[in-house]
Amino acid sequence: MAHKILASCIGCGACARSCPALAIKGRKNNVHLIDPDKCVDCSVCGFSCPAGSVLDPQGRPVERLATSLRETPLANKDLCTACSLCIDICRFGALRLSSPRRQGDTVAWVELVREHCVGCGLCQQSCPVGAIEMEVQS
Amino acid sequence: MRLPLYLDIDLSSGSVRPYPISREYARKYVGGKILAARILLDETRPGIEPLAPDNLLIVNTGPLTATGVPACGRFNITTKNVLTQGIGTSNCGGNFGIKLRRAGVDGLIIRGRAQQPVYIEVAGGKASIHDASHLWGLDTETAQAKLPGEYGKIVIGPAGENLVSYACVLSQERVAGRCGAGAVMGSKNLKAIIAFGVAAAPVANRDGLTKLTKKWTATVRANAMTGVALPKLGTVGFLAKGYKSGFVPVKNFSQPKFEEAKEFTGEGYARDFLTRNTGCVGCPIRCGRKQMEGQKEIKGPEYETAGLLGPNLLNASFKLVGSWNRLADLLGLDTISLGGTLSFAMELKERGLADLGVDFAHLDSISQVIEDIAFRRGPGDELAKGSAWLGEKYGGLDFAPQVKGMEMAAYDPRRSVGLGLGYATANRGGCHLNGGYMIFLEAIGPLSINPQSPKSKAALTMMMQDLMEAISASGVCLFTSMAIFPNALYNMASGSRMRRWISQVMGRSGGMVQLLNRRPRLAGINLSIIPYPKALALATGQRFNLGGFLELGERGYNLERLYNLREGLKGDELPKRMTTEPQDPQRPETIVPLEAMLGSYYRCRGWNEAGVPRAKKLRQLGIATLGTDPSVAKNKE
Repeated sequence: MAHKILASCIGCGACARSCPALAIKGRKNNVHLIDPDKCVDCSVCGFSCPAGSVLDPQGRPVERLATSLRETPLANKDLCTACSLCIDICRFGALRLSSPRRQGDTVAWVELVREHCVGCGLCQQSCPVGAIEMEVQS
Repeated sequence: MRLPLYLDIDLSSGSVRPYPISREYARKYVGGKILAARILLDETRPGIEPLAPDNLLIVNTGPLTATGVPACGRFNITTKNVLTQGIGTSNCGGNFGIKLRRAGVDGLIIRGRAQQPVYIEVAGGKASIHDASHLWGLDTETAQAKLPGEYGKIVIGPAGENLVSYACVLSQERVAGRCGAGAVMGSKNLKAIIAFGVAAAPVANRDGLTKLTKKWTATVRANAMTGVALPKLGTVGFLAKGYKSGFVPVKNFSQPKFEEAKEFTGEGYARDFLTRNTGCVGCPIRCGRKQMEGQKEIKGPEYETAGLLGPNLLNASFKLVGSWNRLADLLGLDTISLGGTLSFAMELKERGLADLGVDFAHLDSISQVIEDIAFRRGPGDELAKGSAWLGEKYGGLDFAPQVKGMEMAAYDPRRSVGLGLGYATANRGGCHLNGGYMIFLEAIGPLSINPQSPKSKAALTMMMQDLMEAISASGVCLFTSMAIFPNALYNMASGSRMRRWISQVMGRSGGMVQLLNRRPRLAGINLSIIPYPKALALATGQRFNLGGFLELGERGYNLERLYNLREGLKGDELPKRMTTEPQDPQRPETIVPLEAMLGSYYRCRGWNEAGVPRAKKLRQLGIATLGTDPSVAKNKE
């Protein structure tokens, strides 16, 4: 299964820039294409599309969604082991480890850098201990 | 059952095609170093030169890599060993392995030699070759920074480009250090491999593995070693135990003590240097160190680096070790072989055998010498060939700290004779891990099975070697195995009667352990304290139990041995210093009684008195045809 871009695509490139899987290619002002082998069905391309040109795997158009209204990760400090699988999977740098609270601190956890988050949820899927919830945060 | 996807990349022709892994191979060899050893046997002719185009560079993962189980970030590099001419394997926790699996690829088989510098890109289950002229000559940090940020990478530095025999491969700050894998990459004009993907690693029973992962992670985090000591002190925390037990090498393994090193400990490091700890991606243990160098936060040393560039060179400064370690990483040099080669050259100078520009009294020149080695300048050109090569040329092989041509790790085997047997028999040369890391049972861990006694060591060494082999091939870090021991054991006072008693019982367990070694299928069970077989079963959909897991390790160990035999490696020896010269002149027992253990070890393994696997053993392991002519046996058994 994968998302699809319709011929109404205006070639602005917003989808490709926000795709966490680097699955979208296309020249500026040309119709873009999603590689179904790479697509992870997160719908972020559709959230970002100003022309409403993205269909989900069921063939329904994905509605545009402002970043502030998207779900973003919230890490449970107590469960987080700082293993960094979530940081590693995010190509936008939307997660980072907490800074040491003092010299030689050996406790760390994951923090969100909200302005970089596209809301794909890959971090949640990659967390081996279920420490990340996706929520719309006010 | 999903079969692993391997890509066969020929740099000479530029072709990329899938390399079929049969169901039989996936079941028998699983992945990582064991499957890679089989591929190396299948795909290479005997007697090739490690740096010739027909050597292979196999970069692969195990079925647990990137699955989320604790320390699942490991990948493996297998090639013909530049230092020993035998099997070469190196394991690393950088994020490359995770990205490779997320890109839908389980392994790469790279052959040939590119006409000019190239790098390989892997994404979406495919690979492509690109020009790397703009990266050639760059240090490992700059080269990684110039490649696309989203990708996992492995790169070599100038040392690999200049074919230094112990050049390493870096991924982030983590290092596939040993066996000269960096030189093999350099010989292929291959500067880097990069991979990108976000797909979940294939797992047969996702719910089952998630449940196991949560429990296993909790165990690792609650364990006194993997949850407390390693995160707090790192592997440099072993230094204090090392001084107490006497296993830290001093002055090229020639002295039992180095008084100046009292503060050169994990505790001292944590107090004066540690800024924070860090870890490989996917690991909750986080044993890595960070320290400052000027205004820059740099990687801190591991125990091996601290030992071999510390007391082994009569140095007790973490500042110096930190800066040499960083320089070696930037240039792409293995710090274990570097430390052993430098200390050996210093002793050569002291004995008047050769002057290679280094001596114990002038540590201020070491930074320059490290650069000279990487760029093959002046005496650095000879130092770049390792201690065995130097010993052959200038004499002193008896005290060259190497086995089969590769330098030993920072443990003096005369204070851990089981590790001595491990070093001698390790297929890749002087390696503590391939050797079975018996020192964990003899000195570092919660037990202290008499480190000077050969009793039971043959059977225990074999079991530890097989266990390590299988864990490695699964794709997780060996350190997870330290959590097998319960906190009750770790928390017992070192001199307590109970601990002594358990150590004594373990020291007499050879017969029982050997029964299991001989008939691993007797352990047709799964124990929650040893979660690897169950995790493998859940990840692959195949049946696995403890016995099958140990047998997998044994199969791997025998494959490696067959490769070494095919390439003409004979004998399992230690440098004479280790077997004849007591480490502590006051204590004659501080030697490795290798002869007393080796025969028994061969019998345990089902090998003949020359260390050659017997046909019966190979039949039992399902690799019988390899015993006759490995080069024509592909897919036959």
